[in-house]
Amino acid sequence: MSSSSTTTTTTRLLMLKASDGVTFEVEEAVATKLGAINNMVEEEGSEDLICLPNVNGKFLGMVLEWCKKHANNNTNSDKGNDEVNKWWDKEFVMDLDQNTLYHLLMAADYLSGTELVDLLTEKVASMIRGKKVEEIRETFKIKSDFLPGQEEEIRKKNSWAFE
Amino acid sequence: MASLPWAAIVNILARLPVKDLLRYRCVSKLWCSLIDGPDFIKMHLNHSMETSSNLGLIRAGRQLHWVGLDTLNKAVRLKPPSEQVTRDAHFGKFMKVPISDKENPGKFEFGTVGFGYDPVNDDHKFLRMTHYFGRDSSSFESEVKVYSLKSKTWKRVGDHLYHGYHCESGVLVGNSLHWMMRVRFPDSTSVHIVVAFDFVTEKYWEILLPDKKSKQEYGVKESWTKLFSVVPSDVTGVFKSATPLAYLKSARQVLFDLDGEKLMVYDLDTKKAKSVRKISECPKCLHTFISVGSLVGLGGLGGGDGENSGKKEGENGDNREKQEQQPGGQKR
Repeated sequence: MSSSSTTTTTTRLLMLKASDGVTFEVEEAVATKLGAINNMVEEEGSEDLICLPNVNGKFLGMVLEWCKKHANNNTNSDKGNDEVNKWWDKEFVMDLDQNTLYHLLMAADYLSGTELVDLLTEKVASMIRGKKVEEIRETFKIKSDFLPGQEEEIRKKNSWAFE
Repeated sequence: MASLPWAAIVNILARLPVKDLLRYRCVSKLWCSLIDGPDFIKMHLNHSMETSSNLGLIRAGRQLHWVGLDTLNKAVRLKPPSEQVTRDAHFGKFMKVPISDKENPGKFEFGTVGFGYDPVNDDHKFLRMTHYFGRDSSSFESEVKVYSLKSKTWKRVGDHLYHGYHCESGVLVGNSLHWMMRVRFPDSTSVHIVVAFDFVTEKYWEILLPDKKSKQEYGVKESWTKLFSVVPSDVTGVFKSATPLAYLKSARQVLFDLDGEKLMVYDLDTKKAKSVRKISECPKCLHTFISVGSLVGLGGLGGGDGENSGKKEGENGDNREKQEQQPGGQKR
């Protein structure tokens, strides 16, 4: 985790405090990859402690881990960066279970980490491709509100999609 | 996933293939109205275009087959009501298009079609060109019509001025469809040009073509550069013709059709042919078109094609031009 101490001394450190009181010391350049933090830094100026009451420490940690990787990869600007980032993103989302994915997506969304939101959204999409209607209802906890017969009607119209 | 904000769910769904979405209309009333809504249909199509996803090939020979670009191995037979169909209608629905309104004046008839999008009027348009060739160039006639999916009407636009044959099927770049043409002059010499049809202005324009090259700065003659040339090798096997079908942006690969029988993937970085394969269950074809799987109905955006929305079903019968749809391509 501590990969950042050898850079120039002008790097400003921010303190991020999660909902459960866990704090993270992060370089400004890393934390401002998150739109919400970038805004706070610009608005509030010198404030070094930022409280994030909507994000739990576990998930804030994961979000910041992602930010660090991307910030580091972007500083040594050679062509392979995109590839490295892509590869790393793949690793990052590979083994996420539904619960973690959900909380991460909520955290990334709250912190306006656009790129990370995109990555996680794609991951959720890949998990719900090719599923049965019932499986989708189960995943999103949705109850069918169609009247009797209505659902069959819709199924009939695009019957090939159910083959 | 139960309590994800609605906006997040919409973003997730916009990345799914058409087949999944048509199935997930059954999840609930809310999901159904989202998937049928014009905003979502547009969002889904835009995402597909930006990320080169949901792409497929329509292979036309005696029959029509559809091949997904992500796998490139399985051909699905499409069953249109007649030979004249819109290309974009993968799987779902077909539209009958009359070949011409004119009585054939005893001349050789040559027609070509195209499909494109007009972002200014937010309209999908279908282009139909018919050329009539007589014994000499002065007897050349053309008729060009555009069908608007939004207004569901045909409109005659300016005639095609170039006396010649289209070499390949059209290639859509931006809002214009492009053809390479061999234009004949009265002294029986000929020259190759690229003619483009702009779906916004509904006018033709011309791109100067120095040689068989690829363009860099769109529309400027000096900006053509040679990217690569293709010759038969041990990898490709013997072939007579190689037609580029698609540039796969994210992978930096170009997809080629070899003699209508095989598909070849050429990698721009390694400068090598990566894979050459025959598609199973797909006979030799004459033409291959790129298609984007979308929720856009043939009646225009908003699912108002009568098939999806139900409530508009009656409106389709009023069309001057006959429009027929059938609910689906069948698997073999």
